[in-house]
Amino acid sequence: MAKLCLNNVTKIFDKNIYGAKDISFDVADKEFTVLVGPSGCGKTTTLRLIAGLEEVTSGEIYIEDRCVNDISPKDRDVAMVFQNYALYPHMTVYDNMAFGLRMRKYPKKEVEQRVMEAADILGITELLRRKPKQLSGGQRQRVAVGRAIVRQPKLFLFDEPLSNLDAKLRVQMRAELSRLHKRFEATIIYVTHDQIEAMTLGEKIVVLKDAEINQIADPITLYKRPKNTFVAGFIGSPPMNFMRGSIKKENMKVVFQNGDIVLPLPERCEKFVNQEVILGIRPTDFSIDRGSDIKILVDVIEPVGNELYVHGRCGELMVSARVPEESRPKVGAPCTLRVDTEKLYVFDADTEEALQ
Amino acid sequence: MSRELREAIPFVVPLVLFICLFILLPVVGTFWSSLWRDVSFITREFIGFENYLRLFKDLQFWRATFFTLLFPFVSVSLEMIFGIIIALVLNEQFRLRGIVRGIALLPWAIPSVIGARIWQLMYRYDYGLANYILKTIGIGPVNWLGSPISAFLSLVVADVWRTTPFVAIILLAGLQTVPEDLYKQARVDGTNALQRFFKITLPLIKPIVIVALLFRTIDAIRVFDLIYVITGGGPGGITTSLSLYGYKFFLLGDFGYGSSVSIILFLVAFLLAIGYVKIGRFREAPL
Repeated sequence: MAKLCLNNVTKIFDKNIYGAKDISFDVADKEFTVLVGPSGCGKTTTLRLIAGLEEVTSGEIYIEDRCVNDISPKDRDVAMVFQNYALYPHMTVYDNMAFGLRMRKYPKKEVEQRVMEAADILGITELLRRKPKQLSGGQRQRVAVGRAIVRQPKLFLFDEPLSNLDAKLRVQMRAELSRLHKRFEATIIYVTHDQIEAMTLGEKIVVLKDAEINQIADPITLYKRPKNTFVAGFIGSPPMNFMRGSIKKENMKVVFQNGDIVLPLPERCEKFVNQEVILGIRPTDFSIDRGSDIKILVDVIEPVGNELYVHGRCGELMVSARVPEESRPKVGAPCTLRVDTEKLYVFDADTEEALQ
Repeated sequence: MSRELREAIPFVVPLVLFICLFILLPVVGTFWSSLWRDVSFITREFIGFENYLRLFKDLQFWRATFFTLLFPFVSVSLEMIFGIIIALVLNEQFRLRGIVRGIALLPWAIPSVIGARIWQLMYRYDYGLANYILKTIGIGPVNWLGSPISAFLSLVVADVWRTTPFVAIILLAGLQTVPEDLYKQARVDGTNALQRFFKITLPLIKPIVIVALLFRTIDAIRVFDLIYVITGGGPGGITTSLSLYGYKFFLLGDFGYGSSVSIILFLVAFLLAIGYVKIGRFREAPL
């Protein structure tokens, strides 16, 4: 296992399209790092640069303090799990898992031992003689993971490995990956567009947008202190509500104002008075006991069991909120939401950066 | 009759009719006429398998059979090797790829008789291009079509030139069905380019390779126009294929004997096709 370091890594494709722009981050030994962002944000490109499947345009990549820029994928000692698993269709599960070891000329006995061991851990021993097309999606996924495990590489690279699975299986595999990480004390770089996957798996999360890093942090920091509106909107589900407006001082009290909406703000926001801001409210931060009122016209109600998500309009604004089931909102009817103003997020209206 | 069967019939009947009318009927008809002594200006007479007995003792027939098996073996082998190389090149990303793909197909687009005629002119002893080049670099002129081996090889070269593009295009289609991620995975797995070709590419395009082999072998077994134009079957009948051999009897008006040659040719091609289909295991989807 090993650490990884990216130093101002940039990848420019044809026609000046950036695949990765000045990417720098460290991955400590045994750390589970997640690259997350919307599609086309450069996360897969970054992973491929680490694997050596793409060449960097500038910057350096270090694995275990060795610059690997000019080292081919086979000599980087990394294992990669692809989104569509990339199992060799003409080989059995056993051969698929053994292939990488055989190519590296491991003795037959050790190949067998490693494959059997990995198959045992993943519970796919009885599938070893099957071909990939005789497997279900979840089984293929296991084989793909097994193929990476047998190699015992310095780095594990996962490229959206769960996105082709159904929801239930995804949750199950997520937990399993977490267990495997602990068991093997592996250094893992994991790419996903799913923020829940990122939050649940990652010890460190790198948020990417338009080929650039927006924020690097652990899951809780990312949630509680998003650096800008993009990170704030991307992390958390349903996404954060945003409203533009200005901060004013009225009757010795700091308030946020957008047309009819006036929300009292905590004392700490006093330094932003007379500033144009974007206010962020997480749907989960609406409450009924205390706080201030926002009136919305309910468009959609999504019951998820113990609670409801309501989506509605407040003038021009779209607002989503989590409310208790017993509040019984009705579609087409107005609904009064209370905001926990202590939990508001404030961003600069121009730069969209968080204001602290 | 089940509904499934009833609904299938309108779709199946035209094909069955077509096969019966244009494939089965001519074969059966040829077989029927091979059982007769059927020579122009002589009364037709049923003679059973006498034509086949005559074939059996006919040295020239055995020579033609040998040529008919050797020629496809040599030329199709070369076509497959060159075809896969060209296909691999055409599958890469490079500028003007579309144009290069078009140019690569040109020999196949030229009518085969015209292509054969071009080669025949190039092989000419006195003013052919091949000897012109040899003379300028100081090696004496070669009588290309005059000796058995050089005549055979001249035909092989002409055939390889003409049909390699066909093989390349079919194999290119096969290469494009191999997912890019498999190559990436193989690179991470520690393979070099050659290993990737033999361990990943070749096994995965095997069904397509078999299709190309099938087409090409059967085509080469029936080879006629190329030989007719370039060597006329010579020198001394050494490059006569079965189809050319049979054709000569039809020209002479010996329809019965010509038919028996044709039936043998049909059997050779038919058995080969069955063999290929068995090897290719087409019932198993490639991916």
